[in-house]
Parts: sequence; structure tokens; C-alpha cells
Amino acid sequence: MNDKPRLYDPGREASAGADPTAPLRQRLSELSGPALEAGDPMLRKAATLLQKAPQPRPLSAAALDRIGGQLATAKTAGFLSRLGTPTVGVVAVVATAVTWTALVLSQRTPPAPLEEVAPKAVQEPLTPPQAAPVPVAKVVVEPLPISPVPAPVESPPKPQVTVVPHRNTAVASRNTTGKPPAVAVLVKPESGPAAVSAESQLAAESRLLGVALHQLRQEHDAVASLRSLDSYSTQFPQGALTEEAQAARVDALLSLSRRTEALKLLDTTQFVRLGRAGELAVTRGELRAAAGRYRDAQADFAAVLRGAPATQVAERALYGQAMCRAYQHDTTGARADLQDYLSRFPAGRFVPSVKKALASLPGSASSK
Amino acid sequence: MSAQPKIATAMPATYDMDALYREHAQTVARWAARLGGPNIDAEEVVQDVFLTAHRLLPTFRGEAKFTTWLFRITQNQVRHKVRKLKWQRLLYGSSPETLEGLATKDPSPVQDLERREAGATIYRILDGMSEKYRTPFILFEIEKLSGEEIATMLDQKVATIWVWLHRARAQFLDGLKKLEEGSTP
Repeated sequence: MNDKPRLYDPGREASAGADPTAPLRQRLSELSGPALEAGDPMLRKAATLLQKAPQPRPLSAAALDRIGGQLATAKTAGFLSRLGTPTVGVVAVVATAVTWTALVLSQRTPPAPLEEVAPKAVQEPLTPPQAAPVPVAKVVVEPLPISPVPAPVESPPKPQVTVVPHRNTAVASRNTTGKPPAVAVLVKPESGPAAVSAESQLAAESRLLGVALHQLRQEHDAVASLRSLDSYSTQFPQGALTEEAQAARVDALLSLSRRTEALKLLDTTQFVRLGRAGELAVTRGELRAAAGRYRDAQADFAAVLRGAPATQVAERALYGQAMCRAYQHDTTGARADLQDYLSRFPAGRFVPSVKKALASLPGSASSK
Repeated sequence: MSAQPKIATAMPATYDMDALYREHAQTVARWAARLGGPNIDAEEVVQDVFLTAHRLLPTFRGEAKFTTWLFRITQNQVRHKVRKLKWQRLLYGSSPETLEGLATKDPSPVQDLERREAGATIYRILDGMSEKYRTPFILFEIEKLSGEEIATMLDQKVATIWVWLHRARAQFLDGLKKLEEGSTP
């Protein structure tokens, strides 16, 4: 079937000459009756307006990847839910039974002489033949404090350790070697952040954050930078440089146009230590304004302006505050801000917008 | 609903959601942007659409084209988001689209605002139209789909689509007129 004419059709524009809507108006007037007669200026305006309809931007590769990841997670969750509660219950019961049996068997197994256990245990995790997996990385056997140290054992550099009694007292009482009963020391994995000292942790944090910032600012690879920042957050959830990392994440998200996420982060993070806290507050205000949260945004801008920040930040804050006031119909406040802007930043980047806004405010000479 | 025969689908018995996602993600993003206008977060819509599709796909019986089915999900998601945005506007003020782009580091915020102005005006008028006519109007006048394509997507007769478009145009022009007169379309 042949298509009917559109109000605006780029394909017909060339053939229609100067007036792309000319052939369409005739058809529309046929369709619409007297209200839409040919030559109706409204039709012309509608066609012109539709001609300017912005083209939607395609999703970025990063966005596609991100949504793909969410889908993959949903698929996994869906698989587990399809298994159903009874299946999960059966699995849980079986696992409990196996673990209990393994524990019982391991307690019946006579302990090996300490001379044999000690060197072996240093080399590998505690995995008794029939024992259930135990969440320890390495086991060392140490004497009780009352006894002399028998032999040096390898130990990781200053690991965080938890001392627990070796199995139970019954095991200790069956010790026939004449040596003092041993204790097992549970050592957290060497690779974990707790395994390093405070200084080296800070160095590691700094190194990882440095990589993320380099990827963002030098390599302009925000996706890679976000991956590094994810890694930072995983390794150092309470890191000393968390604020810096969060600020870098905001930058990376904004460079990927992921504004909703950036705003969410800014909404939930306090930046108090950073030198660029004012700039981040202005960015949050701008994002809030763009989301229609004018009151919140205005509070951000006002707080920044109260702090007498650096010129560029103040410029953005003042412009933002003026616009928020204008959109909340505070004409007087908006006009005062706009005039203040022109006097403080006569060569500012928002001057054309400010002049346009001043002219369009109700009560101004040109708006009458 | 239409008496038009349903289009048999080529949907396989076993489906690959990843492949479907790769094939249709950009189309859904475009639909979302078109139907929802400049304020809609197309990425969020795409994610919600495919999560819904993933959940509902086992119930998809293939009576309509897969794209028709997907379009319907998109329509519902966009409707939900637009409703949410309207509430936000009521709570936080009006015209959030006018400050859209303020946070960008574009050299000229004016250009940015002007570029969005036309889109904002179009969608302000579209917001005042009934959804029944709004969707075919967007698909025909902005998305430039053919009448037959729209009929397939909306699962309607082609003749019905033309009638809807006729009425949609009248509504759009009426909205434009009201906007120019200074009253809300």
C-alpha cells in the first residue's frame, strides 16, 4: 500500500522545492476538512517543528555491555528460582549431612604426630582426608606459651591471625607424643588487603587509584577506569582514598553520559576532604536541575556560593542558581542572579544564555 | 482488536536471549527515545524492556511478530516512566527538559538548549494528545515508518491506522495552536 504524505518528509523536500509541505497540505486539507485548509500556517509550523525533531542517540557500546551484564545476572537468578524451594531444601539437607559426617569421621581419626603435622601444615591448607572444607588458607602449629618454641615455621609477613584450639580437648588428651598439645592458627589469605600493613595498603590503594585516573584522564578510557575503580572498591571497601575514588567514578560516569548513576552516587556520597568538593557540589546541582529537582539543585548552588569558591565553580553555581530560580518562577531572584552574573563574569561562558534569559523573563523590556 | 490475521512468527522453540538483545537493543532504545521524548532515560528503558522480555519470553506464543511484542513491552515501560516523570514535575517543578544538558561540558549551553527546544516543544504537544493517537503519530511523522509497518507493530488494520493518524494530526495541530496562544496543549 502506498503511504500517505507526512507533515514533513525529508525525501520529498528536494522535489517539492522551496516549500516541502506544499504537496502535503493539499492532501491534509482533504483529510482534515475545513479546519486544516491548504495554506494553513499551522500546518506549515507543524511541518517545520517536526523537521527539527532531534535524532535519538544510539546506545553506547558500554551501555550495551552494562545492560547485557544485567540480563546475564537475571538469567542466573531465573535459573535458581526455577530450581524451586524444594530442590534447594534437599541440597541444603544433603550438604549438612555430608558436612556432619565428615566432621564426625575427622574426629575419630587419630591425630598424626606433631612432628609430621607441623611441616606439612605449613605447606598446604588444612584438608583432613575426610573433612569438610575449612575456610583457612594456611595452618601452622605452634606450641603453647609454656613450652619452648620447637621449630621455626614459615609464616606470612605480619598476617592477621586468629588462634583457635586445635579440634578439641579430647584430641589433645590423646596426644601420646609427650609434647604439648598444639593449637591451630587460622591465617587469612596472604593476598587479601588485611595481609598488608597500613602503609603498604595505602600504597596499594594509591597505585590502583592512579591506574584508574590514568585510564580516565590520559587514555580517555572511562570504561576501563570504571573497572579499575570497581576493583578498588572491592579490595578497599573502607579505603583511605574512597572519596577520591568516588570522585573519579563520578567523572568517569559523566564522561560516559551515565548521568543517572553519577547523580545517584553524588546524592549518596559526602565529599568533605576533597579540594574539589565545591566543584562536585555544583555538578550535583546541575544534575539535579537537569532531573527537574530544582529545589535540591538550588540548595547545592547556594551552598557553593556561600563558600566563596574558585571563580569557575562560582560562575557555574551562579548560573545554575539563576536558572533554577527562573524555572521555579522566582523572577526577581533569577533576574538578580543573572545581573550579578553579568557584572561578575562579563566574559563568562554563559553570557549569551544569561542575556537571553534576562530578555525572556516576565517583566523585561523585550518580553512585554 | 483487529481482525487482521496474526503474523506467524519465526520465533524458535528455544531462544537465545543474548542474540535477541544484541539484535533489537538499539531499536528498542530508538523507540524509547521517540515515544518518551527528551526526558526519558532510553538506557534504563532498554534494560527494563529486556528484563521484562526475558521474564515473559516463555509465555510468548508467537501469535504476533516478535518486534510487535517487544514494541508493546517498550510502550508499557515508556508509559510507566513518563507517568513517573510527570509526578516528578509536579513535585519538583515544571519543564525539567529546559535544563537538560546543563551538566554537560559542551562549549555552548545555548546551542544545546536551542537544539533541545524543538524536541521539547514537540513532546509538550504530544503529551497533551491521547496515547491511542500519539503512538502512531510518532511512528509515522517522526520515526517515518510506513502505515503497514505501524499496523503490524500496533496489531491493527492499516485502514485503522490511517484513521488514527488523521485524528492524531488534528490533535497535534490543535496542541500547537494552544501552545502558541499560551495555554497548555
